Formats: sequence, C-alpha cells, structure tokens
Amino acid sequence: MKLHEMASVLRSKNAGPAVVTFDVVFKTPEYFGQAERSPSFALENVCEALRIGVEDVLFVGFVKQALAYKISVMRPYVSGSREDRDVYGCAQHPGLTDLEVV
Amino acid sequence: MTTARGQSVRVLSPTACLGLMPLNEESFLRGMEMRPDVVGVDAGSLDPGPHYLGAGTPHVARFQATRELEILLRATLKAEIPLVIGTAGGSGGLRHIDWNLECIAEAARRLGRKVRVAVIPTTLDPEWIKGRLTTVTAPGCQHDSLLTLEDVDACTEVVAQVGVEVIMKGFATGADVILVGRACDNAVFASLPILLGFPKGHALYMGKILECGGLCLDPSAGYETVVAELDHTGFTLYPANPDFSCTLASVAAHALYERTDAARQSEPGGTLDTSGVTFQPREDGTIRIEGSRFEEGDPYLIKLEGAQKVGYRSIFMSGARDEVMIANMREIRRNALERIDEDMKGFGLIAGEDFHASIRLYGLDGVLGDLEPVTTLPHEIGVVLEVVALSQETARNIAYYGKNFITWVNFPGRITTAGNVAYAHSPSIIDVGEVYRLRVHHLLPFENMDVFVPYEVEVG
Repeated sequence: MKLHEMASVLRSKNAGPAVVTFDVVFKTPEYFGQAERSPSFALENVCEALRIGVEDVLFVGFVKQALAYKISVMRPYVSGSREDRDVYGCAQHPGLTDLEVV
Repeated sequence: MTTARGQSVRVLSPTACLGLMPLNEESFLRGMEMRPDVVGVDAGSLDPGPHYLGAGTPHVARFQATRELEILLRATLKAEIPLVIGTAGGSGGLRHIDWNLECIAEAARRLGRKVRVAVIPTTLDPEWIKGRLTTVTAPGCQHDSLLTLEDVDACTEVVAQVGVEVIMKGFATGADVILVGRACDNAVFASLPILLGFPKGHALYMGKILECGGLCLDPSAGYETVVAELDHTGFTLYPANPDFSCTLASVAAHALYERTDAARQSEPGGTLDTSGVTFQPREDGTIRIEGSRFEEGDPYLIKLEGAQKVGYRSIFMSGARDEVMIANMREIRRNALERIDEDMKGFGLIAGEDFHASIRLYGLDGVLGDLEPVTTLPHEIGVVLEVVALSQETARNIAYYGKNFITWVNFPGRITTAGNVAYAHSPSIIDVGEVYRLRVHHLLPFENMDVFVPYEVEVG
C-alpha cells in the first residue's frame, strides 16, 4: 500500500529556515500500527525515498497521541537563499507520497 | 489584573497571518460573541525568506492588512480588549513597524477613532550586540557557527525574536493595540494569560495551536477564527464557525507543524515539553488539551535574525513545447550555463564571484532539483534563467546575453529554426531586485529584558 493511501495529512514545511520537516498523520489507529511495525519505515529506507543522507536527519519518530510520523532534516540550502528552490519547503514531500508500506 | 471570569482566560485568534488569506469576518464576529479577553494576531514570519527582513518590505497586500485591522479594531475597541500584533509588518524590523502603524492609522481613520498603540521595537543596536559579545558567545541556531562582529555589521538590521516577557510590557500601558517587532508566534497569544498567572506550559502550547488561526481545524482553514479558553489545568479550543471542528487529527497535526521535534520546542528562556500531552476531542467539535510543561532554561536565550544583501536578481521566463528540445533539455541547460560562464570572462565577470547563473527546468526538476526521483519527460517545460550579480544592471545584461543559448541553441534533430521557446513576457528580462541571505540566525544570552522599551503613540 502506498503511504498517501493511509494518510489524512502528508506534507513538508520549513521548521525554521534551515530545517524541513515532514508530517504524516494516519487515517486510522490500524494504519498507524501497521506503519509503526513496517520495515518500510526503517530510517535508511525513508532517507532513500527522500534522497537524503541519514546524517542530515535531526528528528524521526512516531507520535502515538497524534497517530503521526515525523521526520525533520537539514535543508540543502537555507530558505530563500540564492540557491533555494522551495522557500516555504512545502513541496519536498513527493518522495514519501509513493513510499510502499509493506 | 483579572479576567471577567476569574479562573479562566479566553484568547481569540482570527487568522493565520494578518493580511494574508483573507480572514472570515463572519467567523471572527461569532468568536467575539464568546467574549475573549484578548485578540492576538501574528503578522509575519521568516518563512517568506530573508529578503523582506533585509529590504524592510511587507509580504502581504497593504489594502488587505488595513481592511483586516479595521475589522479587528472595530470589534476590540467596542469590547474594550487589547489587540496584540506580533512580528509587525511581516519581519518585525523598524521599517515594518512603521508600515504596520500606517495601516493601523488608516484603519482608525476609517473607524473615526483615535487608537492608542504601545509599540515594542525589538531591533537591536549593532553596537549593543557587539558589546554583549565581549562577555558572552551566541551559538548558531540550526547551524554550528558562533555569532561574529562581522556578521552583525554585515546585516541591514538585526531583530530579536522576543517571548512573553517582552510582550507583557505592553499591557501595563493600557493601550488599545500592542504592536511588537519580531515576536515568537505563540507568545502573541500566551502573554496576557501568563501575565494573569496562568501556567506557562499550557499558555505557550495554547499559543502554538492558535498561532495559525483555523489551520488547526478540520477542514484546515487558516482564515477561520478559533477561540481558546485556558484554565490552570489546560485549555479547550472552540471553532467559531460551526462548519468547522477541532478533531484529534487536525489539532495533533497542527501541533507538529513547523516544529523540528515532536515533543520539545525551544522558546525564549526555556523549552516547551509536550511529551505528556493528551487530546480529548468532543462531539460538539471542541477539544480539550492538557499536559504540556515549560522548563525554565539558563541562560535566557533569544534568537536573533539579520539579513545581508548579496546582490540583485534578473530572470528570463520561457516555455519549451518542442518534443525534440525537451528530450535534449538537460544537456541544453548544461551547455548554456557553461557558455555563459565562459563568455562572461571576456567582459571581466567571473562566475561564482561577480555573478551566479542558473537554469530551473519546471516540469523536469524545477522544484526538487537533484532530489527529483521521477525521470519521465513532460510535454512542456518552464525554462527559467536566473542571474544574480552585484548590480541590477549587470544581472539584467547577463540575462539578456544568456537567454540566447536557450532561444537559438542548436541541438540534435532541431527543426525549430525560428526560435526554440515561447517568451512569457515583453520585456523578456525581469528585474527581481535585491537578493539577501540570512547571515544572523543565532541565540544570544540575555540577562534581562531592559533593552526592549515600549513607547506609546496615538494614531487615527
């Protein structure tokens, strides 16, 4: 099953100018449980989907009271700098959208 | 100072950002019927990028910000409650405060009222910062470099993102409006409750949920009004518009919004710990939230922000619709950039020093760049040549020169000999203006808040 089919929220956004954070909120406690147990959420696998290095991850974890998964990573470029392509960091999520959750 | 109801305080948030969305007036007036003790509104952010802080300009439409201030003031003046505005004018600098004051004055004139404003500038004198740096160090925020004297001097202005302790100073004046320079979003809403003696942990978390108006609602709508009632054990959220509700998913998701860590958030003077938070959604669309805590920190750190001008940008926007060109597009980009960098040497301009040229290919990898996983070719590509140089004229001239390596370039199988791409505009080169980088983004230890001094003005 693709991750976006299990989620009511799947988004990216700046968390300060040098960090982008990804939030996934699952539609049901069952989907949350399935994700929490799934090897698809091994850090290496998620990083590969987002094409980022494990060393750039600042926070990762499941948040039970929110039925959520969160991962925060260093941005390649600071928001709004000359090289930046996504000032608000809102469009960095496609790597997670189609993550296959086994 | 106590609230009308003693054991609780009500805080209203009318929109995610003043002048941005625009706010729903009907919902706001419904919210006002709940008799809030204070209305808070966030007017800015660093999110739009460092340009606005550096250039001293707003990031919303002036006529909309003024209209919303008129809507808010009509109600808060009638109810005789304070309106707190955080991050004045978008970035909270001195020029942003002036702009925001002009909007308030215009709104007051339309209402036929005089409005008393307590202004709290949070711009720091560079010499004062440099004096502090002789006795303390300021570590980087989200990076490892300590703040240097050169960093301070390089910026157009350095603002401090203040917390509740500074905003509280405004309430003592009894002004109609408290207009704060750069402020933490949640402190805009938490200041009055904390001044009244309500727990800091609950108040700051309430502020965090309220800071984007109805973004915490289902469906998510930043322009909708939310009212929070805070007591000594937690707080309850009420959507003003009955078509919206607070659900576990909507509120818990918003609690994660724009935060690096799910459970811990650095604030001026300490850390907000939300690891023990409980959400109790109710059938009437409200939700009860308890369990957040504030840990005092030592020293008391405040984040500083400053932007440095690094050049001027000009762009060329065009669209490629030819299949053969699209198949060759990555190579065309590489060749064009190589050619621009090489040819500019003949004009005494060194790539990477005097200018930077780049080409974004929207439809191919314009958004994600090297991180783009999809490799299939589209039927159309937006080709944007961008030049940043030390003067606007140089940036424009390099863009005029460089666009020809897109428009007229030869590629294998080319039959579009009258020109390769559609120019989006005439003139074809757009001067975008000043480019800034965030140079100061550091945490400075403060001994007290004496450097932040409110002043009062009457406008209208």
